[in-house]
Amino acid sequence: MGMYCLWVVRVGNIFTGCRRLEVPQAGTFRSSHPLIDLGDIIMTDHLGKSPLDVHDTQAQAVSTDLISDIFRAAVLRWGVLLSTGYLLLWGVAALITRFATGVDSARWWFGGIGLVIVWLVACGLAWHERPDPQQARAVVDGRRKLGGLLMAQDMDGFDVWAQRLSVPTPLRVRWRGGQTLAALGLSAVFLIGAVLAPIPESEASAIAMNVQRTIDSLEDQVQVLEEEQIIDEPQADAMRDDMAKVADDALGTDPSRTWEALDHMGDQLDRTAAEAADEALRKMDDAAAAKSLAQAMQQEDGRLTPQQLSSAMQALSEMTQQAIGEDMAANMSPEMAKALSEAAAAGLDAETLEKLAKMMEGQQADLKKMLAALKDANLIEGKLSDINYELDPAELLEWLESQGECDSDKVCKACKSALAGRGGITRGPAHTEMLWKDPSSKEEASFEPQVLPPSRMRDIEDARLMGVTRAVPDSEPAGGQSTGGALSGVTSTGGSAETAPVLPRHRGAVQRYFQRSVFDNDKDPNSSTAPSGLPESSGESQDAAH
Amino acid sequence: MPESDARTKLMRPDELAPAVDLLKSVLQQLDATLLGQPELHRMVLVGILSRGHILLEGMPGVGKTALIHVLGQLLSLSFNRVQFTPDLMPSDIVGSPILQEDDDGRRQMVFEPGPVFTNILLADEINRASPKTQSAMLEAMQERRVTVMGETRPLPSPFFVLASQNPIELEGTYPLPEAQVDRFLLKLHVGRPSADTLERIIDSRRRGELPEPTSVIDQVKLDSLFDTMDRVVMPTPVNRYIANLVVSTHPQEPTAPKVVGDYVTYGASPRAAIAMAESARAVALLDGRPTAGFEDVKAVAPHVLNHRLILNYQARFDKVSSLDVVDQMLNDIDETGLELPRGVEVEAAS
Repeated sequence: MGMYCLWVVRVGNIFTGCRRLEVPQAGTFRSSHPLIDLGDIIMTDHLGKSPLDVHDTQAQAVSTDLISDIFRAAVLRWGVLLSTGYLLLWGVAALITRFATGVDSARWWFGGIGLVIVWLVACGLAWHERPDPQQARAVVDGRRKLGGLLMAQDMDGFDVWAQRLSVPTPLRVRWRGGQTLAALGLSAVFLIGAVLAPIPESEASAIAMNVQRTIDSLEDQVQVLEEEQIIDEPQADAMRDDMAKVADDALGTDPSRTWEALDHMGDQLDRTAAEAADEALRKMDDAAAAKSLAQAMQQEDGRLTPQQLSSAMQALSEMTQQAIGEDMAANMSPEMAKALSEAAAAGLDAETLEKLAKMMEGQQADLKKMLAALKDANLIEGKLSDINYELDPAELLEWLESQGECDSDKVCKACKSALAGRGGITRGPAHTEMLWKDPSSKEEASFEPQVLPPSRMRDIEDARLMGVTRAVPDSEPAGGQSTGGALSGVTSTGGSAETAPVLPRHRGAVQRYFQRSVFDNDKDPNSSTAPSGLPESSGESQDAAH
Repeated sequence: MPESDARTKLMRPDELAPAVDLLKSVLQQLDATLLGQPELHRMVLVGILSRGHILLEGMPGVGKTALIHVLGQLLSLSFNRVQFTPDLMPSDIVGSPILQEDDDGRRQMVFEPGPVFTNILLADEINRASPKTQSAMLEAMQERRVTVMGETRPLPSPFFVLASQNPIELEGTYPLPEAQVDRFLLKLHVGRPSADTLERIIDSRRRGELPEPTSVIDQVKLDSLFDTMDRVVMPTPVNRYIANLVVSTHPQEPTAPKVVGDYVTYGASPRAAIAMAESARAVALLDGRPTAGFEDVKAVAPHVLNHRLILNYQARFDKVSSLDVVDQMLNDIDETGLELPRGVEVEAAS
């Protein structure tokens, strides 16, 4: 500020022309008028010119210099006035535009070009205010009390009188613009503040959001789904293209759009994985039941009637097909497939039954491996159950004897219901007999202790800049009062939950998210449910996260 | 010299010098005769050079009559003195026809000129005459002629009325009509002499007798002075300044200063502008310049304007005189009329 004022003062001195007109010293005067000598005049001419030339030139120069000085003062005055107004407008425009559109601060400095125009306009206005030569001579004549002689400069006979003129005091043009200069300084300060003031909206567009880590995570999930043949290659490529496009469009000016798209993609992958996990668990049940039935058939020693044997073989064939799925031809030898198709009528020999049992065991292992891969990729949540719905062959054979006919569903249900009391989810009839056996293992009954990640970021070094958005939600400190929902009125015990208010500008995105979830649920009610055997925690956790 | 040349050509110093020397000698004699009033003498000479009438105002005994008497002697012009009294009639001034019998015994009306038929008329204590008698001077002062009984008679040239008046606060005085006041070029205030001046007067004047002038100006020299006076150039900005000054004496004018709006009821007439221009020329001639400047106007403006401004009661209440108003006007009105940008000033560096 001090330097700025000093600059203004120096410019003011230049423009107001605070310089004195040096003139030769006049000689002796004898007139009653202090400036006119009617007697002998001794002129001192240090320039070596004749007195006439000196005075004629000086008289001309005095009025010319006065015009120039007044012009400069007027330029300075108009320049400062207009600059003050311009700087104010400039600052207001910068402030409004930066708040409204978030235009970068650096661009506003180009407004300085307008100052050149302002000063050109000031020159134009000052040009009209400069006095004409006659007025200038009148001013000089009046201020120096020259008795009208300078005003008669254009008249004949002035030359004789010119050498009798003296210019005792120089003229100075002064502009008293202290208040105007102060206003200019204030407007300049206002402009600097308006341009440089930190506005989140204006910095939002400085860099794009770095969502690459999220994209990488999603791509890994796509890779898993592709490797497990849950989705085919074109589908995976299409998803990768969508992710790349979202990453390119991830600008801080509209972060909700990016987050919404990424959430949608993650949701889609989760649903696909959940459907695949459901199918895998169902196949695992069928494979386990088929394996148990095949082993039971191996031990069958004529206790079953031919009709019972035929229906058991038919059930074994159906369960095997359901466990293997549509790609039966690829996973099974033609002989085995033919034998299974004719199992109801011709039965299966012991060797075939043994192969079938091993095949079902291998199928179970493959499905379990796939589920583990999905879980490792965070596509499904919960703990994989180690429960095998395999029934002891002797017990199954005994059950088959008690049945008239059996089908695959009955066999599966029998396998599951026979395992009641061994843990797991049972949906059996209410009259299922309670089994009193050994005390339950504490290992299975108690929760496995887990170390939760810290709820809040500990150090700033651990932070990672993803992008600068236009609205950063304020987060309340951990342990604060919950703001609503299920946790309303409940004081957190610390470190467990972090609540973030939903800003008005984000409410639309949140609302659309839940509307879409409802729509998807209506369309495919099973799609959002967790797979059986897995805790239904994924949906809730996602909602809480959003 | 043609008038056009007078406007476009400046007098040479050698043309100007004789007139200036002559005026200097007159001034020196006036100062030597009447002590302690050099500025008054200068202004009286300005009035003479401008061929205007002068109204001298001052207390009795301050030398008004003596000044006019000496001036008449110096100029070698005919001089009449009229002591104005309340019973003075107009015919006592302008003259009247009287019945006379000639050698043949025939009687006829013969005009007997009054004291106004002279070059210099000293109207002593003019405000003691009745308004009727004062009005008798109107035609003589403006037209320089007198009409009696339907016959107009020109007055001698030059014709000056040098009137003196006592302050109107004194009893037995009549204020001069505005029309007549306006005809006086200058109104000069004759002040009291200082103690030093009085001492010199006492020392050099026995029984109040004035010394005789050593030299006089005859009619020819006076005419040459008038010719020189006509060749003094009045630059256009000075003309403009005079016009602005006179216009600004009217409170209705937007350019009028605040002091005029506050205290002036009626301003000066165009005759004042003419009087100011002529007086400024005379001041320039006295200073030995061929041109009149702003300072010349400022020198004569108080004497030209002070009797032409009619002040209101507020001025009387605030004890503001017309001279105060004129002084304030001279301070407020820029002589050049230059409209500088706001806040910009032109000043003489010290």
